Amino acid sequence: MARIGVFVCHCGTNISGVVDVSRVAKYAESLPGVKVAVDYKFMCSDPGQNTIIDAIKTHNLDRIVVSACSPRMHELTFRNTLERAGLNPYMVEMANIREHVSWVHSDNKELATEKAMKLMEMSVSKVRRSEVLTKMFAPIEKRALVIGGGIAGIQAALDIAAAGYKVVLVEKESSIGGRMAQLDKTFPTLDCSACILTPKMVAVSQDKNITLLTYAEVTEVSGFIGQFEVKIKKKAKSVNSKCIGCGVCVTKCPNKKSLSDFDGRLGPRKAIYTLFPQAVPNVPVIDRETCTFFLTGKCKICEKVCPTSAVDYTQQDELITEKFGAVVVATGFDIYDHSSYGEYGYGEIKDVISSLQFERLISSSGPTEGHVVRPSDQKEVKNVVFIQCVGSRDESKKRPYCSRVCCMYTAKQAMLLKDHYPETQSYVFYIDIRAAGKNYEEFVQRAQNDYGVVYLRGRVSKIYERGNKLLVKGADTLSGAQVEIEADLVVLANGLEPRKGAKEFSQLFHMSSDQYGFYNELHPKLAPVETAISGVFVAGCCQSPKDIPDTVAMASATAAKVCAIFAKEKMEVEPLIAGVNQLTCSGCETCYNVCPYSAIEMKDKEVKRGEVRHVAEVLESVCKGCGVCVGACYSKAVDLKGFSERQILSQVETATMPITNS
Amino acid sequence: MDKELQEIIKKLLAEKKVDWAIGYEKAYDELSTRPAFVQDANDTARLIFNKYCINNLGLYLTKFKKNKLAVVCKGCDIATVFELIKEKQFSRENVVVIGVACEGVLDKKTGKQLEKCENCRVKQPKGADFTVGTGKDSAAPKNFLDVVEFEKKSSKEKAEFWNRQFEKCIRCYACRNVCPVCYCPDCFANRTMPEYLNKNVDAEENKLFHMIRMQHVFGRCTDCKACDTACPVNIPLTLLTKKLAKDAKELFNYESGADMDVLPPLSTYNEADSESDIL
Repeated sequence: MARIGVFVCHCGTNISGVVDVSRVAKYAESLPGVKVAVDYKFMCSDPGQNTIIDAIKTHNLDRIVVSACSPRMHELTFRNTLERAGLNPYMVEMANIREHVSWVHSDNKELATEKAMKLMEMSVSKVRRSEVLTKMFAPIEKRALVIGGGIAGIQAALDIAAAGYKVVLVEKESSIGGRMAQLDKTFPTLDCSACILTPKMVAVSQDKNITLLTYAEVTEVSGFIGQFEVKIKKKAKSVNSKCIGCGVCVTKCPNKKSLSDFDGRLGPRKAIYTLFPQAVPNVPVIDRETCTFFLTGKCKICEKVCPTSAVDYTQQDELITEKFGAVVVATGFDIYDHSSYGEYGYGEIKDVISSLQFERLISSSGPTEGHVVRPSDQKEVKNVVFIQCVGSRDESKKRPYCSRVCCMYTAKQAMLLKDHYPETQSYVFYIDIRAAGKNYEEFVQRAQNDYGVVYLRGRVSKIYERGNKLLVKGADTLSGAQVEIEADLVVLANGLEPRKGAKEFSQLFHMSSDQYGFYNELHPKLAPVETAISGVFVAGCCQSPKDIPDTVAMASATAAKVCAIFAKEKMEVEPLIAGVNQLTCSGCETCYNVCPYSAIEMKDKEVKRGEVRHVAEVLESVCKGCGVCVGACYSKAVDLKGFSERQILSQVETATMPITNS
Repeated sequence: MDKELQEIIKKLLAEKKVDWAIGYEKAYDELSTRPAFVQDANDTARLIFNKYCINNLGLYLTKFKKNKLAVVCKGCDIATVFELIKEKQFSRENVVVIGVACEGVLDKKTGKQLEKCENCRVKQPKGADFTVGTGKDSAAPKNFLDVVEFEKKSSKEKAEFWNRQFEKCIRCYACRNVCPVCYCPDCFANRTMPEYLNKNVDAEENKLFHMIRMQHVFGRCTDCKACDTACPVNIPLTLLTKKLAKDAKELFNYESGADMDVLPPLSTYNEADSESDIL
């Protein structure tokens, strides 16, 4: 006979404010097999867990029910409690009387209490049929895949490699560096972005533990934590490993037809190109869609001028399959496309530019070599208007969130402009200044006090072109006045949004995204870098907009998580999976056909002495315990450990019985 | 016709192409036939085929799994053989299907032709290894008129009708035992841990048994009427099996036994499956 203990949690007043917990405990004591039932303020707390351990020892319990919150919250906690008390960790059932009762039935305490009693009783019925389960172990492929070569991916790769594990870093562009490589200076210290980024990029290329795959994309993912199998497409670079990065081919390439996306389309880009001078690897690639040779069959100048014969027009895309134990997703962001803003000229006024374009203009390695000039006539500027919250905090554009970095980078850009051109005057239209961060508020204050940037609280209603000037009309809501500013250049503070194709990418891993397309973390507070897919972690702006220090911190956090997985000898796997009773299996292959994970194998096996039969067998390391096979099996030969038919049916039976002697 | 049938089987047995042949023989009176199991090439003279050969011999295939078999099949019985092959109960190479042309079979109790034979489209068997005789198929497509009629009733009327029917059930399990696709080594109805079904014979539990059985044979039942014919208390199980066939056709465009390459609708998984019933 089972010896059951029932532990009813108050959860502060979360449960006890609605449910009469002592009545639930008293009812539990009346149930067959229940040797002890107690209620306590916080069952999950240390004294709460000790109450359970003491009760197990005093009453010689062999299984328990915890009436508290969702098993998702604390099942693991109580499994550990059982283990500490010397019991099999799977001999605990949780009755969720918080989410399923007190939080949803606060209007009727009497009925809520009865429901709590019933749920507890059902769990008692289930735990009575619980069986001892043994933890399983699966091998771990101790190699990490980092997707995205921005600062997040770089940091994650370096940290994992530093712990001694192998890393493959996949970047879809021809160089790592990401968005940070496009920036001129960084707030709030005004140190040069490239100067702090490039050493890390070089470190990646020199680290023996890191394999760098640039100009490559992940195309297919299967498997699970410890054993991901990933297909990676290495796009043809048309330049092979003999390249020494001298850059002659780029200089001599006559094809200047395309615009450089890296430079915000403000300057030309050759058909053979490196993204920027400090590119890692410093190997150019040929864009076959614009290259004259690939379009017309004539040219081949790059091949002719190359001193090492590194240009190879015959290279093909290559598909490789690699195994990984864990994955860090750091795919970054795009900036909001402001062409949806009619009041700012639908993106058609040349001298209304995005913040990222401004970064390229003021960068010494940018298309104008650091001269801030108007894209329309290449003239220098005097009055510049900055407009905040473009595609951020804007319900009408379905971008109600704050992009977090725009207030800061706008202040930075206004300060840099003043540094470069003391004659200029900057105006900033803002809604609120959000400068929450170490030395951030001081930074914005400095822009206003030391650099004379004029901050106007209000929005711009219209930008007109008048002559060769821009007339910016807006409101200063603090003085209540309408303002008109004659500007040479308008810089928009574009918000951050998920990369194009983020949704499709998330489906490779079955990750979930929020309504905007940012990837969901497992828990907004307590598991901010984990995803619902174990072994897959997120870092940087693909999860939500954030600044460089937060991104780097998050990347290091993912590395810690990955290393924690790799530090284990083997992966502990939940034994809550399907099992086949081969004596009753008819070998009809229905389970084999319906299994979404291909976790069933059909075998000819001796099931009785001298009787070989065609029967199903579960591949333990592949099974996810979804239970589809259990539902599909006609002869009921498949069962799910931890959720056996016996357990479920006795729960159902209990559910249909009235509450007795309450 | 019988002669031709006997010769084919004789040859198969003599050449050791099969270990056993399953056919029909005359039973205790003129109107009765029963399954015959022949192992000896010289013993084939007792095999016959006539309009009283009502049994679906596909039933016995799962009971002789280890042997090579020849089986006499009416056109309709071949569907059963195909379903069982799809469910890997034996391989196609291990069965020689001897199709017999059929004019329709009679219920000896009433002397009337079975209702399923009226618009039979496989009087001339299809997909057999050998065929004996020639039959004339009905031009009329399979209809579900009585099911359509029954579906018009209100839930209450339907419940009353079936409650009355299942009150009669004596849970002899004849319907299950003659069903060729009810081949589970251990039926859910026999289980005690857990007890899916109370072993008492009462109307509610009887109903549960029949409903679960119908769920289990959905998309696999070839509507052969073996269960209906075997029932000693005349429960119109045909009405249920025809409903299954109708639903399989309408919901999944599936016809049991028709296509060897298509699996039954509930035995497949596809990420794009319609989930219209899931909120």
